[in-house]
Amino acid sequence: MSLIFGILLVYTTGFSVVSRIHKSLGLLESISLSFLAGIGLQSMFMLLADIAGVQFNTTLLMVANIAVTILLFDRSNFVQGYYHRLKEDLAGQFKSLSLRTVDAAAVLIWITIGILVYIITVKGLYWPATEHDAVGSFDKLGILFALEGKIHISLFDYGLQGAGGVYPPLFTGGVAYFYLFGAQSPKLVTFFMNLSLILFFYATLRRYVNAFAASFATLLLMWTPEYYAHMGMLLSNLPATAYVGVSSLLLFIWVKEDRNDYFWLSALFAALMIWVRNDLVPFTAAGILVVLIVTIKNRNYRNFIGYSLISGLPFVLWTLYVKYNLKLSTAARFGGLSEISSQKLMIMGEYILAYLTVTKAPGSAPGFFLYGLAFMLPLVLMFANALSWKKHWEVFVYFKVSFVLYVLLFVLIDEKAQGADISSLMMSSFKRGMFCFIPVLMFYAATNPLALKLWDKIDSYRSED
Amino acid sequence: MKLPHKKFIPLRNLTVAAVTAVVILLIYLLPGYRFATEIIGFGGLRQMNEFEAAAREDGVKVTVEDKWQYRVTMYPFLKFITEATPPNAIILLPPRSALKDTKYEFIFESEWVEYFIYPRLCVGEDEKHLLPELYKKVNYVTLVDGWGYEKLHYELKDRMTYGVAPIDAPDSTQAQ
Repeated sequence: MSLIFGILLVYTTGFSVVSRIHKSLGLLESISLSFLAGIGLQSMFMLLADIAGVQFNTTLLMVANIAVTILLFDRSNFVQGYYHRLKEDLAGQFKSLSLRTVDAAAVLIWITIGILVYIITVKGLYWPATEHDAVGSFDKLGILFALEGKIHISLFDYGLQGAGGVYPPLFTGGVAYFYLFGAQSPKLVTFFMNLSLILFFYATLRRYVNAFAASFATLLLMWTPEYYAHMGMLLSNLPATAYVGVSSLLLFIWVKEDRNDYFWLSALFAALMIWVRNDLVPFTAAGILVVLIVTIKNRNYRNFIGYSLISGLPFVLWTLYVKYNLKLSTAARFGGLSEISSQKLMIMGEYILAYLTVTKAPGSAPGFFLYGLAFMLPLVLMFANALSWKKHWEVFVYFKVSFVLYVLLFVLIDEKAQGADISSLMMSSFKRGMFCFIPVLMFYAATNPLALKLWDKIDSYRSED
Repeated sequence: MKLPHKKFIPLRNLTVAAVTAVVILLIYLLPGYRFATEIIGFGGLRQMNEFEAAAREDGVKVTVEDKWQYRVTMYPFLKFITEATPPNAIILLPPRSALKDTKYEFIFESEWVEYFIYPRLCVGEDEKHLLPELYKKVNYVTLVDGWGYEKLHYELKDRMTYGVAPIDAPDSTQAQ
C-alpha cells in the first residue's frame, strides 16, 4: 500500500511539473514524462535535505512531494483541458473496435512487447540485484541513502562508496526512494524508467508515422538483445538511455514543429539526464549544438542561453557537491588525461567496428549479436538517405556529435585509474553506454524518407481510401 | 500534431498482421534476439520456477536470503564474516592473487564486500595504497586458503580453510 502511494506521489509530482511546462500533453506523454520527472525530483529533495543537514525519510519526502504538487498543479488546465481531451481521446479510441478501425499488426506487436517485458520483468524482480556494479555501487548506495537518510553517507568518508558514488544521485536516489516506500526489489526503478522510455518513444513516433510503424520501431528498440538483457538488471545504463532518449526526442519534436513547450521540456530532461550520470556530457553538448544551429537561424538567443544553463546546471551543482561536501575528486576516480597511443586507437577501432557491424573483436560477441538491428539498420538507412539528410539534420548532428564525443571520452580515459585496460573498458562500459544512441537511431530508422515510403505503401494496401 | 485515422480493409489488415508475425519470428531467429529471449528471458523464468519448485518439494518457503545464496556462491562466507565480527570491525580482505581457483572471486574488493557486511568496514590487501587510513585501522583478518595468518599478531593453533580472526585478540577466533 505504502509502495503504491509512493509511486503515485512520483507520478503526481512529475505530472504537476511537466504539465506546467506543456499544457496539452497526450496520455502516453504524460505517463512517461511524469515518472521520469517525478523520480528525478526525489533525488533533488534528498540532496536539498542533505545540504540543509536534515535526514530525509518517507514523511519528509511526502511533504515535499505534496508541497510541490500543490504549488505547481494547474487545476483549471487539468479539468478544462487535459481531462476533457483525455475523455474525448479515449472515447474516440474505443468507440468502435473492429478490423476496420483497429490496426491488427500494431496490436500483434504490442502483445509481443507485453510478453517480452513481462518475462524479463518477472525474472528481474524475482532475483536480487547481483550484478557487480549494483552490489558495489547502485544498490548499496540506494540502501544506505535510505538507511542513513542522507546522500553523504558514511561510506564516502572511507572511500567505500564504489564507482557509482561519483555519479549524481538520480538513479541511486530513485533506488532509495523505492526502498523507503517499502519496495522488495530496487529493480522497480529500472522497470518504470524503461516503461517510460518505451511509451514515450511510441508516443513521439505516432506524431510522424502510423501505429504499425511506431509499434514496430518500439519493438526493435526494446528487443535489442543486450538492452533487453539489461531490463532485468540494476545498472545505470538503462536509466541513462531513458533520459537521453526522452530529452533528444523532445528536442527533435521542437526542431520539427517549432513548439516551445517541447523545447523547455527537452531542457528539463537534458538536466535530469546529466543528473543520472555526469559522463553523459557528450549528449548535453550535442543537444546544445542543435539548439545553437536553430538559434543562428532564427536569432532567438533566449532559447540557447536557457537550454545551455538548464542542461548544464546539474553538472556544475554535482561537481561542486562532490568537491566541497563529499571531498572527493571525480578525477581521482576517472583519472586525468590518458596517453593516446596508436595501439589504443587501433583496439578501440576494432571494437567500434565490431559493435556497429558483423565483425568480431577479441573477447567480445559481434555487434550484430549484441545489438541486433539497432545500429546496422539505421546506419544503412542513413547512407541510403544521405542525399536527403537535411530533412533530419537535427538527428544527424545529434548522433554524430554525441558519438564522436563519446568515443573521445574513451580515447582520453585513464586506464590506470579505472583499473582496467582499454579492451576491458570497451567490452564493458563502452558496450553498455552504446544503448544511449539506440532511441535516437531507431527514431531515424522509423521516420526517414525511405521508411515513410514503406509505411505509406503498407497503408495504401490495407486502407480503404 | 496527430495523424488522421484510416479505415482498413479487414482482410488486408489481417494479411499485414500475418506478415508482421512472420517478420517477428524471423527477428526472433536471429542469434542475438534468440539468445536474449530464450536464454536470458525464458531461461531466467525457467530457472526461477525450478528454484521455487525445489523449495516447495522440500516444504520450505523461499526467502530473499535463499535467493542470494543461490546466486552468489560466496554469500554464506560473507554472512559468516558478518556474524563472527562486531559491528565496528574493520576487516582485511585477501589479495586477488590469494584467490586463484577459489569460489570467492570478488572477496578481495572492498566496494563489493561492503554491501554484505555494513556497518562493518573492510579494505582489501590490494587496496592498502588506495585506502591507507582504513588499512591502518584493520582489526580483523579474513583467512582464505592459508592466506591471512601472517597478518595476525599471534600464532593461531588451528588452521582453517575459510575464516575470520581478530588481528590482536585471539580469544574469539571463529571458523567456518
